[in-house]
Amino acid sequence: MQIDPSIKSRPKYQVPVLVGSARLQLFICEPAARDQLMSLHQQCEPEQTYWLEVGDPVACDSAAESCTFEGLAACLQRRLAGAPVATRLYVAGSEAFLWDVRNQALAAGLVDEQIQLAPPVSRARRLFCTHCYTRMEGVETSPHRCSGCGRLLLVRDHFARLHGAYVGVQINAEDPNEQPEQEVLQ
Amino acid sequence: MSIDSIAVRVAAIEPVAPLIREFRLEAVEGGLPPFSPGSHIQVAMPGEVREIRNAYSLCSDPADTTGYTIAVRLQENSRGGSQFMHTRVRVGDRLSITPPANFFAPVWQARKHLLVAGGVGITPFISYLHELERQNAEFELHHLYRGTQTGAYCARLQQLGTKYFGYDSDNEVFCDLNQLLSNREPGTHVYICGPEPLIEGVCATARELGWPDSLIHYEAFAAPEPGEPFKAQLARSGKAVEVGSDESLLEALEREGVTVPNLCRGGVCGQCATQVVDGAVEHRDDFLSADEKASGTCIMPCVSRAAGNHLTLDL
Amino acid sequence: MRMSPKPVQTFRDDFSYSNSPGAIARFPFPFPDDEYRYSVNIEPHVTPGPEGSVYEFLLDIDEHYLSEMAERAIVLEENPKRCLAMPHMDLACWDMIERCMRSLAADYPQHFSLSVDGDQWTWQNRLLNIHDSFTFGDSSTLPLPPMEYMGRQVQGDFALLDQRDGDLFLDAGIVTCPADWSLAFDAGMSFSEWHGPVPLAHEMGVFERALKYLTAIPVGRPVRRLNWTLTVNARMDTSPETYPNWGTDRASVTADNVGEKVHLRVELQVLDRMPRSNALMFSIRTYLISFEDLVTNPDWARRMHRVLKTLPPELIEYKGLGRYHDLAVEWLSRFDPAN
Repeated sequence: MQIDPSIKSRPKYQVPVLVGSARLQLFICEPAARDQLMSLHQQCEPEQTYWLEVGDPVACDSAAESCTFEGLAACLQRRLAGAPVATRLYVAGSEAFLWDVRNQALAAGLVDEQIQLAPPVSRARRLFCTHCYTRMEGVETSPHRCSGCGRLLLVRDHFARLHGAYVGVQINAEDPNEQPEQEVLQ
Repeated sequence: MSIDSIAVRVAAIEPVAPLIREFRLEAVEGGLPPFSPGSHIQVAMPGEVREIRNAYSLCSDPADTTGYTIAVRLQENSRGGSQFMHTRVRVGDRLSITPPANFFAPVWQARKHLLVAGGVGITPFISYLHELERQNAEFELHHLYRGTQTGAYCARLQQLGTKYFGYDSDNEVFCDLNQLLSNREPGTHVYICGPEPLIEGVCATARELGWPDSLIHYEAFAAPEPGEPFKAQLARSGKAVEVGSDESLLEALEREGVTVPNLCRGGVCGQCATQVVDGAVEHRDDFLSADEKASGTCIMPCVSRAAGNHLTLDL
Repeated sequence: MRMSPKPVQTFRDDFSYSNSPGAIARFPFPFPDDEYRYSVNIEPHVTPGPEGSVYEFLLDIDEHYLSEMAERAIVLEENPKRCLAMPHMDLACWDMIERCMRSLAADYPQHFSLSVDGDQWTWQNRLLNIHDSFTFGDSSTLPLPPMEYMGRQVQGDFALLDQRDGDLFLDAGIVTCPADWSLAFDAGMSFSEWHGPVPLAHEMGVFERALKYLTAIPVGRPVRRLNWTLTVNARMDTSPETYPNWGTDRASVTADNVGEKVHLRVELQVLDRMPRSNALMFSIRTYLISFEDLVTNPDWARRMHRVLKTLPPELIEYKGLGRYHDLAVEWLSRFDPAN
């Protein structure tokens, strides 16, 4: 089976552009994606900008402010409480990270127009097993063995923003003897 | 069930301001459907020359299925509708209405609703207030009006307490839009209903202040504006329809017995889209995309007109 | 003729599901032409439709009612996440309860009754021995969350679509008999996102036009369309969740068993504006008929053959028919005089 290149749910990403009229410029990234946002950050008035790195403390060491993935929601809530409607959020990192931040920003009251997601730093995908609902990080090849139910999953291009994940469906459910070749995801 | 029209009886008429009358409409048989805040209905009136159909916002409690209330402001350049309602309609009269439709519904996920009303534009928000209070939602109502003319509802609205902000321009109280829209928290949605300049003013100020478009909502449709008379040639039936300057193309077609499906009569819903065979179109709708307008192959006859003196339609 | 519910049959394991002659006669055969192509095939769902037809009422209750409700209970027992409603959809769920209860009580008074006294409602479903009183709009007065409560009493899958920014969002639903889509995965998606995997149609502008039409549906004027696929065995739950259980069915078709194994699966989809919330109720009522039963109607047999024979390869793959498409066409060809 071929992966359909035209699936409309698959997000398209663009290099972020600074929105000059914003009153608060929020930058959130994983340390590996720092370079994607730094030059935008440097163009902002210091009192209107906020920089947050998310990841393990060692990698985030040089950042003015950092938090762990677990602490992100609380951190974002805190920062957005009392923030103006004219807030813009710029996010860079892995694809799953982008959507996690976006979903938490939505929960904190932002809307999609206020959020720009930079092109993901890698091709690695989060995979949602449609059989047992397990979510797997960093998937780069298809098929992929589900860490929850052990089934061999075809990684499809159908993408759910709320999960930040692509859907995985058992590749040989119709003929369990089939041993499909593994391919690298684009 | 499939409803095209509902027969109603005028149960009460109440002047709420020198130029505004409220009409309570009750079903001739049974009850009326509940509706969502911001809904409108079309009222069909038996005018002298032609049937007049106007859209009015519902301004009663959406959960009240015993009757609907509409408020009608007497328009200076009335094309017949508001004049008919003000001078001809009596308690006990029968009218025909469409079921409610909505192009101005609240966003249920909003964290806070900021309602901005100008004059009789308060009407759709009356239905909002009932539902927002029922849901215990956060909201503010900002009401700009002229106390001597359209100061309807002020006494009732005062009951909202700290959620109500009135601005009576006849009393030199004005609304500073910049202040109104500054320092709002994320998740605040603003809704505007009123005269065009107010809508434009709030939209422009909000955008200047960095509000994203998806947080800004306004009641877009208005009565069709008059224009130059023109002739509509109907390619399939061979009919020719003269469109007067004070009627819409849709109204002229209906007068001649040509049926075109329609809903909002305000260039929003897209139901009346009609193919154009020949002639230039002056597009006045909010439905067609810029590309579709540029192609000139389609017209929304409820609001749009010929750019010249004729149009040929695929009807 | 009107259909009375018959004792429970199964849509799994021994597949005891069967259609009576009356059910075959009223089956919604979906093909207007010998060739199937995408179109925005939406039309007004004007009720009452022809007496006894599947279009007679808003909700069609037929001889499979008890069987489908028993099947739904099994699916929800296995996986409660096949039903969900986001918090902002509460009013829409009550809209659905009102619409369903009022329609059922009016259209099938022998099975259902509703008494309304202000916001104090009493509902009786004699088929399932349900008799409940509750406060309309107050979810805490129902024995189950509103979507699940109503969904367990109506045949077919249901979704409630929130309308905002000129788009529709899949924010609530009960989906236990889908044609290969997952509510848990698709929840919250916009109209074009959840149709993402459908081939060809996006490029044809089908969804763009459909969306403009659907967002303008007024209260009291529901619309409908038919959709179709093929299913091996009379299996209602052809969800991605349970695909490992039914995938091998597709490899079990042989030249000898096409007639009993392969079923035409037709969805009667109805979209209805919810008056209080402005949401759209999207009901997907599934009908299954074996090829054996289908070919008892010679017109259907001939047309089914021609439709399958001319189906574009993209659709054969999308509908998952690859393993048995040729067998089905071959088996049907004997009913087509053109061959």
